[in-house]
Amino acid sequence: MTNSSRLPGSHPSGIKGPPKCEKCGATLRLESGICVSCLLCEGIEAGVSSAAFESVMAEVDVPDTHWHLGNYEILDEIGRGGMGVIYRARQRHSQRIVAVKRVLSYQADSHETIARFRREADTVASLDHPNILPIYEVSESEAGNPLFSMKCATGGSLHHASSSLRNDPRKCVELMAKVARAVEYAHSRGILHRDLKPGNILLDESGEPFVSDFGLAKWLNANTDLTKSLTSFGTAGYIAPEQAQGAAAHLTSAADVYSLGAILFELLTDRPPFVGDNPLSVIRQASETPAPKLRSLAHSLDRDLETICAHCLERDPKARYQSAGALATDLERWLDRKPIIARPVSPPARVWRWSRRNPKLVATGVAGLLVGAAAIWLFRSELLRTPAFNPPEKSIAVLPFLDLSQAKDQEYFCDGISEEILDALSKVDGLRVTGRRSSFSFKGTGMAASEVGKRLNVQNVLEGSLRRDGNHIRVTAELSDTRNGFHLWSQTYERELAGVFAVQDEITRSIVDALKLKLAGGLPAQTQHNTEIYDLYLQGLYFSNKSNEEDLRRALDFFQRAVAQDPTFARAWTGIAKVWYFLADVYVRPLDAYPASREAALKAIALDRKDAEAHCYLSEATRVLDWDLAGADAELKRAMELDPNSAPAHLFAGLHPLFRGELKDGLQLILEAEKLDPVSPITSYVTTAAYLANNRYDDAINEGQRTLQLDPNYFYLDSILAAAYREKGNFPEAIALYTKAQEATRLPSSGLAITYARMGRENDAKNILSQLSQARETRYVSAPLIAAVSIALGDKEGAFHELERAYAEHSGVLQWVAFLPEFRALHSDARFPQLLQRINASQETILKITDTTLSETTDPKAQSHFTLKVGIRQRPGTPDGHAVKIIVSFYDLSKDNKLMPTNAQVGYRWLTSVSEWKYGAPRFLEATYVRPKIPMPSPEGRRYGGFIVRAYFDGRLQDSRANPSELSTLFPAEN
Amino acid sequence: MNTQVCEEDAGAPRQFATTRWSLILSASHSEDGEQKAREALNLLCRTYWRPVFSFVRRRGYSMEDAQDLTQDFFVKILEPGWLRHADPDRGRFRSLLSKSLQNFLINAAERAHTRKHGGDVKFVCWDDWMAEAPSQLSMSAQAVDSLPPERLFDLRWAATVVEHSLRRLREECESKGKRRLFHALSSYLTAERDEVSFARLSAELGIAESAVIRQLFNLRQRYRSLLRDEVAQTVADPAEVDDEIRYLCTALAAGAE
Repeated sequence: MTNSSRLPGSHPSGIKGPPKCEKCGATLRLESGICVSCLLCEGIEAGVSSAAFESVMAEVDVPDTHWHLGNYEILDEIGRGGMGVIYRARQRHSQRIVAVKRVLSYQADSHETIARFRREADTVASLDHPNILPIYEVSESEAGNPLFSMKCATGGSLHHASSSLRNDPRKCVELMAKVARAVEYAHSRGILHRDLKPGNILLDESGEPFVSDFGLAKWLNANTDLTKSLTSFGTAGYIAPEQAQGAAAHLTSAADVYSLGAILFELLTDRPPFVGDNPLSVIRQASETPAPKLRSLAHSLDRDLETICAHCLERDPKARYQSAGALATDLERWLDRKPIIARPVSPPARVWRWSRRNPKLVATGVAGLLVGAAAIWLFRSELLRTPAFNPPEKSIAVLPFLDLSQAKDQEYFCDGISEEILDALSKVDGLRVTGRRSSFSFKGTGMAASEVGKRLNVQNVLEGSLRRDGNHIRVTAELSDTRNGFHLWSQTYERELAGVFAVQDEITRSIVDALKLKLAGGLPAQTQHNTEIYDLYLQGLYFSNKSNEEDLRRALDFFQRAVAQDPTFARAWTGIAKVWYFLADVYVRPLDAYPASREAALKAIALDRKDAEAHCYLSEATRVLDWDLAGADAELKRAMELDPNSAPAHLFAGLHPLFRGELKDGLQLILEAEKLDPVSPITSYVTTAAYLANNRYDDAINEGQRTLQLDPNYFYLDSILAAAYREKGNFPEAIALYTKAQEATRLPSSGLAITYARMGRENDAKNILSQLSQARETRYVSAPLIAAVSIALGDKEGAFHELERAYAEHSGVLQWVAFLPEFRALHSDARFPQLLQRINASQETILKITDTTLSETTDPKAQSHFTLKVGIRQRPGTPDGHAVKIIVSFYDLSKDNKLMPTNAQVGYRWLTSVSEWKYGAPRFLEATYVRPKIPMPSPEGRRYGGFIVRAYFDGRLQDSRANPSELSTLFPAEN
Repeated sequence: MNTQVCEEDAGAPRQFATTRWSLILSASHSEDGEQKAREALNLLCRTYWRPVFSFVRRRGYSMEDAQDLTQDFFVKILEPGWLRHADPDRGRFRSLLSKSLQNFLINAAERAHTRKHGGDVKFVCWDDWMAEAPSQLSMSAQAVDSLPPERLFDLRWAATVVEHSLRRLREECESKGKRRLFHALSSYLTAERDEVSFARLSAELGIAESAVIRQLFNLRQRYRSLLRDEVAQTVADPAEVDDEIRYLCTALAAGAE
């Protein structure tokens, strides 16, 4: 109906101008077609007052309903902002209440506006995060305005909710931690928000935050003409100084971090960091003066919060948290009452403040009794964090006993007693005991036992105290139930020092009784018999967590002696598998080590089918010896079925996405592994690598330091912490660490060579390279390490040569080249993807099954009626016209619980269409399984058994889901 | 500070509350007054930035440069120095703005060099301004290409006045829950009686035809008040309102080539 006016620079497509107005002859019209001149001329005549106007208007009853825009019935206007108007609307077909944003063009050239708008829609729609406002649909109104619908956040914005949150700092921090994680996610997708403010954080009914209005989002890397010139956007009060000054091309995630800090500041103090009469003065202040201290405005808040805010609001972007994730981590640590990473005055290096205790036992005389000289180190510590408090049956944590002696010099003794008791308890079959480091970390916190128990997820807590006067000691011990705080048992012992060992036995036995465990033959005899072998095992376990060859071989020795005495000791076989696994690729040729690991793992499984950890090592052997990622996956699945809390299973499982290039997913899984076993150095080591792969240098550095806290000599293959320093550009730290690593591993450090190469010290780098080559003559040197040095020296040919060698040797490290930064220079070379193909580190799938929800319907006509809803997502950017096929098959269970196929199978086929799936939203399908009611029940007694969903793209299997999982193995896909 | 809409009939002796422009002109000396004046100026700029932008574009600058320059211009306007130079004799906001803009662009070339060095802090709520006042005009392409920038400025100015008044009218209707009424009737504000199908409107709105006629007339009258008030905000003396309206009408008529 109307034509947009075109200004110079763009030409209309042959459309003539609007007709002249009949009344006045002017040609200028509004969107609705009214002549502007006529409208203007109206003003010559008199009008009417607002009171009169309103009273006349009130005479009629014309309710505001049924205003439609596109597929939506507009209910009310929620607000205006950014590029358009936001309404609350009802979607025509689904009747769902949504928010609809309508773009209002601001300039005559609507093509650019629409293009910019589509960019916004694409951007936000590709983000998929629980705390980012999801976009449902992009469409156009009849008038041609683009509009999109999104979730309607009914809780209003943070702008309005802030006053009610002020009195609850914890809630503020919780909320902002979620927001920061959401922003981190967007950053990881290359998207900056650039206009974070309370008005852009919407809340739903339950107070859950959603970040919205990525209207100013800008791809970090893209640099189109349109976006390049957009300079000072953002809202005064929350905009980072460098952003206000127009540095649009160089903005980093630190700008968003500033905004997050400003928002948090306001939530806690009722005003933004800077206030002023007008936006200009606010921004000037923000650029020229340091942000006010949080506590100067809100005295009751603690220093850590002040530090966090200050760290966000630093004027120098490099001085802030370098990622929204780092901010989120600190907020989460604050919530957990852990020390935060940020320091009030920024130091050159960050120190892990968590726990600095020396793990060695110091208790005199006590140590020698029950176990060998080695400290006890349980491989699996039970630090599960379950949402509902549901501790495993028969689980206990032993807290360090309190030193009540006068001189308070008995700490070592108290700790010793506690540790001994802990150790003795851990030998008891059927009892889960929290690892020493975890339970001892609560020492001195003054936390109530039941609270500690909840955090450690144990059913019972043992605490006690000790008082020593010369040779006389008094020990009290108390056992309580975490769930209700009841004291199950308590006792006091008065003994002479010489009798302290008997006291330990007595306490242990009492506890066991109190926990109602029955041990055949009583405690002493049983443990006496097994103690020696178990002792060997425990020592093996201790050394198996080390990273140097000598200790690993010691571990191997201990384990082998254990199985020599008791060949049925399954766990010791697993230990052997573990040590060979860790020796492989680093100290021992893969083709020697992996088969040995596999053999031991198979022995362990033969003795104990339920050994999850053995399956983990089996999985790795499959991956490396057979180059079979899929097979390895299956083994890990089995491991997780057997033990959902298996840390090694999660750790290895996290590596697979990394091999395939799914860096974020991999990191996610590895972080879960870390939750399951926070005190494992190898997990921390791999976590460091995962952060590094994701370019999260600060996180990598923090994690790498944590590894060294756990074990100061943990360098293993090559110090990843040093690599993080190096990637960040901090060469001195990198060199220092690599030098240390060289001493520990007694091998020239390839990372050091790479650092030298980066610094331009080519000769030094070449020196190390030749040393490495020489070392090959006497010992195994991992080929990818040498390849990495070659790359740093610019020798791609040499690098590929080494990688070929690695392939021939079956180096398990080879698949790591898929994500380690040292190998990025090879990505563009055609040989690289070919290599990845051969080692089966394949690319991201095109189709993904997002979810499968099974629901049962009550159907009077059917014996059973199930509906399966399947979500399929297509990778954004997939071109048109490819064949998608989804096959859903249902299975039955026979009378004797055998899974059997049925003819309830359905296929969906369609061709990919860019417009339909552009925004990456999943498509949902349904399949039904109906077993009709029949007069006579079938002789086979069949009933519903399960389903398999398989997604094919151009005939290639992309993804599958099966429930129960064994269906996939029983009924494999035909090709 | 709030705008006062003329509460009496336009025919009665005008007892205008202070218009924005007169406030700006008169109050640049006291500190308190200066603050209020700046707020008033801010409001005016937010309404009338589009003519400025059109002018700059018409002068041949690219989209990006035009945005930059418009922003720069307003930053300059909003600085205290400019207010002090606002000479009462220069009369109307529109003309003063136009002249300032022309002067500003003369020096624009030199300024372009210094601008990029990040010395000054820039800040303009571009998107907010745009969202507040969406505008879609239709003009013939030849007209746009052939009109001199000053003419285009006036055209745009006139359109802004009209659009802004309509927006206020809509808001007043919406605040009373009569948005639908507004949408149904606003297209007919200038229509002659026989151009309107009252029967259809009556059916659409569910009210009697006579009610439609009455409501339309009401809306029209209110619109007039708002329009006059809008114009009044940009002149120093209430007596100039009619003159200014006529000036703008002339500008539009002249644009009709």
